[in-house]
Amino acid sequence: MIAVPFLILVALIVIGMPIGFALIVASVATLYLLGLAPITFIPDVLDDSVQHFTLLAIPFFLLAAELLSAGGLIDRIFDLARALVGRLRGGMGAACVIATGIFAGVQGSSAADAAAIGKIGVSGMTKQGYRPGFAAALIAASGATAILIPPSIAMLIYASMVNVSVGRMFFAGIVPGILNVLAFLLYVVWRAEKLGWKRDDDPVYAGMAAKFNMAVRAFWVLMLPVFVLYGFYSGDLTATEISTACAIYSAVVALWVYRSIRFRDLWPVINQTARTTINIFTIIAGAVLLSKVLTFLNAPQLIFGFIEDYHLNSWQFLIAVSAVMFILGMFMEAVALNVMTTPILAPIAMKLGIDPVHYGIVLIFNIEIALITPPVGLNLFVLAGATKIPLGQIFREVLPFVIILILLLMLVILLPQISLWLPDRLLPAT
Amino acid sequence: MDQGHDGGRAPAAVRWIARAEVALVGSILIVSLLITLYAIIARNLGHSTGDWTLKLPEVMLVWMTFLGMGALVTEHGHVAADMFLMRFSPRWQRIALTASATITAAVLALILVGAISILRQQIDIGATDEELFDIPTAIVLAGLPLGLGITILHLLVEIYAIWRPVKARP
Repeated sequence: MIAVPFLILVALIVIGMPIGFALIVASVATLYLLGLAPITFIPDVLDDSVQHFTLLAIPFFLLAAELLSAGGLIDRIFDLARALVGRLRGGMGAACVIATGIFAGVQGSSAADAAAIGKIGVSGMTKQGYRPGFAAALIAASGATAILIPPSIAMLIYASMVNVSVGRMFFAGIVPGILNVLAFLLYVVWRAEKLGWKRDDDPVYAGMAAKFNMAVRAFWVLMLPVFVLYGFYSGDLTATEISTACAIYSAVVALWVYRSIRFRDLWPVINQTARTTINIFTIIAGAVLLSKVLTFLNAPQLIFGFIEDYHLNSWQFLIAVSAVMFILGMFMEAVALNVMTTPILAPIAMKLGIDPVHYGIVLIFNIEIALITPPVGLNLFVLAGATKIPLGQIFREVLPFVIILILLLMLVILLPQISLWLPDRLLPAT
Repeated sequence: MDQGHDGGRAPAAVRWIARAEVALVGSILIVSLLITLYAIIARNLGHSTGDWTLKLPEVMLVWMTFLGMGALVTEHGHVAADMFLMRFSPRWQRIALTASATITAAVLALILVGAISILRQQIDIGATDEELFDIPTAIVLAGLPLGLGITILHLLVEIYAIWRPVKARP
C-alpha cells in the first residue's frame, strides 16, 4: 500500500507535471483510491502546511539574497575568494569553492548559490584549462553547501516541522559546513597538482594588500552572516525577525552603501522573490499533504517495526535512513524530500535517543547529496542551464564530489559532536 | 529538472494577468515584511504589538502561496523534472502536458469543492478570528479557494495554449 502514492508520483513526474502539483495529485489520488479520509481534510492540511511563522523567514532570506545578487555583490565575494586562495595550484577552482562558501553564509538557497557563482566561475576555470564538465560539477557541488551553512532554508523548514530552535540548527551547520568547504578545497588542490592546472596568476589578486582591499570591498556583505549568527546568539530575535532585518540590511547595503541598484530596480527583485516563494511553498504544501497520507498508511509504524526487528541502534538507523534518502534523492526534489520524510523519520530518531538537531544535520547532508545526484539533481540542472555544458559531462564529473559528501556524512553520523559541539556551547537546549 | 517546460505560450492578456498576480504576491510579501519590522521596533521600544503581528503575516503566507500558484502555471515557473518528457516526440509531449494540466485541474477542482464547503460552514456559524480584530474567519480562509480557482483557470488556458496553432513570425 505504501508504494501507491510513490508510483502515482513517479508517473506524474514522467508526464512533466510540476513537482508541487504532482505531490498534491498523488496524495489526493491515494486518499481517494484507498478511501483514507474525507475530502474536506485536504483544504485544512493545505492551509496549515504553510501557515507557520518560522516559514515566513524563507521569503525574507530569499529577498535578502536577491537584493545582494541584483546589486552585483557576488563579484566582490568572488574577488575576495580569488585574492585569498587564487595563488594555490588550481587557484580558480579553489576560489570558486571559497566564493560559494562565503555566499552560502549570506543566503540559504543552494540553487541560488550555484547559479550566482556558476557563470563567472565556470568561464574563469575553463579559460585556465579546466574541463568544462568538472568546472560545472565543482560549482554545483560547492553550491549545495549553502543548505548546510547558515542561514539555510532547508534548516528553517526542518526546524519549523520538528519544533527545534532555528538558532541551534544554524550553529550546528557551521562546523560540518566548514569541513565540507575544506574537503572540496583539498580535493581541487590535489586534483590540480595531479593534472598540472595553473595557479591564478592575475597580479590584481596577488599580495597581502590585494587581500585586504578585497576584504574591505566585501566588508558589508561579510557582515551579514555575522549579523545573523549574533541575532540568534543574543536570543533577542526570532528567525523570522532576523530574516526581516537581513532583508532590510541588504536593501540598505545595495541601495545606499554600494549604490549598486536604484529604487526602480527593487520591483523586479521583489517579483522574483515572490516567484521563488510561490514555487517553494507549493512544494511544501504538496509534500506536507503526502506525508499525512503516508502517516495514514502507517509508514512510521512500519519503519519502527523494521528497526525493532533488526535491532538497529542510533547510528545504524541514521545509516539506513541515509541509504533510503540517497535512493529517494536521485528522483525527488530537495524541499519535497525534506518535508515528506521529516514528520515520519524525525520522531523515530528522537525515540532512539538521537538529538533532533543532530538528526537535522544528517538530513540536511542527505539533501545536499540529493542536490547533486543524477538523474534529478537540481544543482546539476541549474549549472547546465546557466553554462550550456551538456548534462552528461557534468554527471560524469560530479561523482567524486558525491563520494566526498558520503564520507563526510558518515563522519557526522559517527561523531555527533561535529554538529552538536557548537550549539551546545553557544545555545544550550533549555 | 527545469523551471518549467516548453508548454504553449498563453495569450498576451493572460500573461499580463499572471504578471499582475505575481506583483500582488510581491506586494503581500512587502506588507508582511513591514508588519514584522514594525513588531521588532515596537517591541524594542517597550510597546505591546498584540497577536495580530504574528497571525497576519502567517495568513499572508497562505495567500501568497495559493494566489501565485496559477501565475506560475502560465509563466512555466513551477519546478518540473522535464528530462523524461524531452524524450517523447513533440506530439506525445503535447499529449502528456495536456494530461498533466487536465489531471491537475480536476484534482484542484475536487479540493476547491471541499474548501468552499469549509468556507460556507464558517459563514453559516458566523465564525470570527479573535487574533485578527474579529474579522470573519471566512475571509482569513478565502486565500486557498480563491487561489485554487485562479490556478484552475490558468490550467485551462494552458491546455488551450498547448494546442493553439503558433503564428509564423515575419
